[in-house]
Amino acid sequence: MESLSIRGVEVNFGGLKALAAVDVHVPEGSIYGLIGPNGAGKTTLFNCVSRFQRYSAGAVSFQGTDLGPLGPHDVVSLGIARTFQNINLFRTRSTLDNILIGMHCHKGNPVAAMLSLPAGRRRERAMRARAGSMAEMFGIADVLHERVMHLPFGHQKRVELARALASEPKLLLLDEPVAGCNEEETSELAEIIRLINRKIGVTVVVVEHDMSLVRAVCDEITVLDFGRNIARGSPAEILNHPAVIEAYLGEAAVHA
Amino acid sequence: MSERAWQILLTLLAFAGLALLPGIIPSFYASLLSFTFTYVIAAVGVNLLTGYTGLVTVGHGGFFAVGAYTTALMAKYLGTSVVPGVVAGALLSGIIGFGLGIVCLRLGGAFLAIATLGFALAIGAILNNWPVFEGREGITLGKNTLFGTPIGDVGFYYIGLLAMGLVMLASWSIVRSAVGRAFIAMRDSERAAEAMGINLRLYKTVSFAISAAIVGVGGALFAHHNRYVSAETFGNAWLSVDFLTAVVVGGQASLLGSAIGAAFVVLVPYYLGTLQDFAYILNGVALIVVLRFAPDGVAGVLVRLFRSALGAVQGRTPAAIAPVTAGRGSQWNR
Repeated sequence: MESLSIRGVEVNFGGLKALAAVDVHVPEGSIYGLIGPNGAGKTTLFNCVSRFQRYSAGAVSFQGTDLGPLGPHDVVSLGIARTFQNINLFRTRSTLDNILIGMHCHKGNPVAAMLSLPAGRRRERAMRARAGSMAEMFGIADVLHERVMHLPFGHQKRVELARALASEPKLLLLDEPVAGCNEEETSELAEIIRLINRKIGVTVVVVEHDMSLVRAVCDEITVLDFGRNIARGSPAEILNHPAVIEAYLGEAAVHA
Repeated sequence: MSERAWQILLTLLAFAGLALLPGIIPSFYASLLSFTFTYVIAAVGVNLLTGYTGLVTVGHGGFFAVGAYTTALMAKYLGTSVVPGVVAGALLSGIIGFGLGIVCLRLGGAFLAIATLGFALAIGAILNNWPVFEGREGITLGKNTLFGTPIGDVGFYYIGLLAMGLVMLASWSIVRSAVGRAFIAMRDSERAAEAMGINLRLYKTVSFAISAAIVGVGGALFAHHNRYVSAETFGNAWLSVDFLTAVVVGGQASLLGSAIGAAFVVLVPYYLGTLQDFAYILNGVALIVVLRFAPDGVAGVLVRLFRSALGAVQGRTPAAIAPVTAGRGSQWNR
């Protein structure tokens, strides 16, 4: 079954075609990679899915629901969550608060919450308990009450992942999850991504430059270059594909 | 004892102290304090929008006026007194706040500040020129009554204290709830907030409405405290500036800060007596000093001192004592 389906999506920035008729079909339950050189349109494509970016042609749908008419805040309740290329946390808040804000779509009746009515307090207690166990799972329980801006980089990455999963998504979009990480942190995050996929059953789409992560976790990959699909296949196929090598290393490398 | 327990204990002590004061101090000071309470309520309202949601307003004096004139006109034409006037003032102020919130949705930073300033000046122009509001002649309110029983200065002091307590309790409950977290999330990162499913338009507008309704409560109480409203007080932007000053100097995103800041902007000009105009200079200096050296305001400094004292007493070094708003201030230059 298909989770995310992107058909013929086009985005223009002025005269520049950022995306030209891109097709991506993500099977349910997979870890799907989206790679390509800088400026290939990977993040733009992500933004089309999370509705930060409008497209001029084509369609994006999730489990059969057309995302076209929806706003950025609507897709969360459908089960789509995302992280950002550069960490984008609520920096003055604690780890706990960040995870709790991630549960926004499960907050229940807002009036009951604001007035601390019994129903609101029950819900709040349940949310806090679940946030605590999520922090446990991501190894950030010991910094639950620290402001995230004081946390080390690797911890901030984990907080962002925990926050994204707090909405209980069916599809998780990761925008360069290991950018700026060293080898050890990268393999840790690869482990976490696999865990999210296999244990919690979340379909994952990952945009990444780091080929070691892509090779380690992805079931299938689509390669973009200058806003077009240039290849699709398994990691082994893709990383030896001539068009991909050309896109990354230039034409000379292929003929060499 | 945990920090939360101390927080609750000290708050209860402060309110108990305020409740005992009228028996000790001359009634004149009780009156000065009940005037301060109305400003504290207004500052709590402004803090919800500016401190927590991160939307800077220089126009909430307009909502103070809406609250004040609602109850004044009701008193004049319908013969009502404090309670119905305050409720109606809060409701009308909240509705107008919702409307202004919608109009200002796409604005942030300095642009929002200017738009809200325009709102306060527009309200001022209406009060000055629309005959029903009596311009600088003003409207005089009768003696305050509570359910038909006349109440004096001391009675009104307790109404003000109770109203302030309720407003603070409500505000505390809101900012600690999922809704309050959504307000703060929008302040810290609009984009991430939206990605978490927070409807920016809805939550900004709701924040505007709640904040306006709270300031309306303050305004209505002010009208009954003064028993007189006129365009002399409400026809300009000074109230709005006072409220913003109170929030910034006292401490953004802090209830304690709202109280300290409001007391500052009320009591400083009062004690300056004939040098009152000097207060504007002092306020300006206070703003600069606070924004430069303690962006989390006087309350932030006090809380940090308290934490390190508590840590010293309990024999442990407090972890990461840094200002809440260190490195923030994005709402001032967005």
